Amino acid sequence: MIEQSKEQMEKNIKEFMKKHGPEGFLKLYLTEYLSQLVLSELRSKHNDLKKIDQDLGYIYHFEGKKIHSIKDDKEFRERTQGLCKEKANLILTRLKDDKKFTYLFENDASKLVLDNKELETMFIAKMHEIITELSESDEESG
Amino acid sequence: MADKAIRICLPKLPDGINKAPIYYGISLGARFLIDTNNHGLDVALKNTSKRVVKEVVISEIVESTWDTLEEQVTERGVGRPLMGYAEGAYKSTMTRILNEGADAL
Repeated sequence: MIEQSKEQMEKNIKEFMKKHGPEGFLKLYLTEYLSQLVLSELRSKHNDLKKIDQDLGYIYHFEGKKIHSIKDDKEFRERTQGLCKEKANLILTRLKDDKKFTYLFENDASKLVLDNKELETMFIAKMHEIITELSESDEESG
Repeated sequence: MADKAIRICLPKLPDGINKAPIYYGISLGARFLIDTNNHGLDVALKNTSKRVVKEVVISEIVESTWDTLEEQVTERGVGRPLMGYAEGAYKSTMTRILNEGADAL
């Protein structure tokens, strides 16, 4: 990371917003959030299964008795990030379809405050609904 | 393996208040970017960071804005690991945008 001047940072933000808008930020943020969640869970997860070679935490680090190479690790992270990006896009599409959340995609910061409990509660409920739908859809597709 | 991981992890995202960090990160990040776009970086920092940003560098901007948010929400009882994911996602995303501009996406 090369450190930027204040003027350059401001210019970078304006260029980003001009090209991608608030939706661009949402895409990046949700992708990153899901990636962190999945990778963190994988690194620490232990299944209830008795067989160690079916434990997700074990599989994340090892193949057979050999530890994964850095190259394998990198490819796995990139593949996971790609899948998380697809999920993030699906979540955003659902959010956009609901008029209650139009404000998240507009260039107006007035509703983006932390003390609006009503908006916060609505968002949490919507995320739960979307993730449940996506999970059920994943199960059906096998 | 990656497909399986997402299918297993996504539905396990806890319900209720523990989904709130996703919203906190979105609100803070979007607000900061919109304020900068409309009014400049100084105004955005004034609106999103309680402490005075001594040195306007990427790491300081990202840290100070997140710290302010965490102070505001800490009493709401959200589990630490889930705040951690939101924090990591926010800092990583904002750093990329501040550093790369439109090429961040």
